[in-house]
Amino acid sequence: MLHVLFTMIKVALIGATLGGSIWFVQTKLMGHNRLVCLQEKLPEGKVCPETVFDAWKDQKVVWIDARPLDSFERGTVKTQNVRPLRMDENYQKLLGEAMEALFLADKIIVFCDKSCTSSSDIAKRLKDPELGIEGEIYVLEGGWDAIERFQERQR
Amino acid sequence: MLTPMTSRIFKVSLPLFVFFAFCELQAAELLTFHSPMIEQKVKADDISTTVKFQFENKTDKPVTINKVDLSCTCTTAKISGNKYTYVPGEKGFIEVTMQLGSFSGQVDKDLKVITQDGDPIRLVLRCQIPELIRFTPRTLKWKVGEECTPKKLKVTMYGSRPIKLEEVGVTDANFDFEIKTLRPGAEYEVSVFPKSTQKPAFAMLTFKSDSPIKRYENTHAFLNISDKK
Repeated sequence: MLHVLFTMIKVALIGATLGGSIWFVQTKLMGHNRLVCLQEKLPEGKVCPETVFDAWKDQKVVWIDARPLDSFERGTVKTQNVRPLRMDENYQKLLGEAMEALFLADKIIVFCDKSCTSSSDIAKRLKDPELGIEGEIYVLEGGWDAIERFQERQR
Repeated sequence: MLTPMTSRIFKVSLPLFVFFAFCELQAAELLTFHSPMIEQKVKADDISTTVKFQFENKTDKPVTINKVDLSCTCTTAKISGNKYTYVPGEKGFIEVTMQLGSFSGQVDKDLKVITQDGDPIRLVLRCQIPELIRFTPRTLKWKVGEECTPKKLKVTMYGSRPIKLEEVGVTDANFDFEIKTLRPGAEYEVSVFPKSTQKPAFAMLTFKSDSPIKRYENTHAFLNISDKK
């Protein structure tokens, strides 16, 4: 009887450990909320925050904050070169305001957050050859959460 | 015959398999949508568009919708009859309205249906919004030091009714422009002359039209003198 109980406890412990490890690897290392971003694992057009903040620190980077207005107003990337651009009724106006900076940029990084998914859409629009933007355009992997975490670590 | 070791591995792996299979079932999408993506063609003068995402609870337990997350302030969602819990076999819909604002071309709007248990369900409203006024190209570019030659862009109106350009302006006095009407209300050509290309510059050409559709009243194209190699 005791043997069966021990076996069950062992199975439960192994299950919990395995489950916990899989959850950690999936959510914290590989998933949206991951702690580590591996540039070489990302598809073309996506970029890790570490690449932007470290490897591209000497380049002209312009950030495009695609989050809703209230999120942007609460706080955004701590840099001079951040412009709001949302897929809403103000899109054309905001695009006009951002274009000068976009023409000057070497790299353009578009990001959103969990509640918005328009960064890929905006990146696609900015890549339209008719607009004539020459800088490389990327979508930030992990979005605003990844920026917050990165800025937190830098404090 | 199983060796003691194999038997032990079997004893350990079977409950684990059951455990993970259970977790996987828990994480599935619990409502079945007829079409998780709806394509909608709208008219150029539509202000908003509304679609219904029909769903059914094909599980054997009641499913409760906690909320619907929207990716854009331009969309709103209503759940059929404000009813949030659906018993097995019950059908319902989520009505999504999108304000078309200043969008044009193909626009995708995502929403996520969050149920009490199970994975979020991603739905997409894809709108095809006719572009009434198109600039070709949208940006005219010169390099710093380049000869001050004029460059042209074409403004084409695609509506069923003519749209006239009432006013054209430029935001930087370093640029002059001339407008030629190719087909009244349908096609115009704008030639832009930079007075100097000695330093980088950016300006906007602004167009005011007589379009009754608000998002086409004021449009713009871009002018750029760049020192980029």
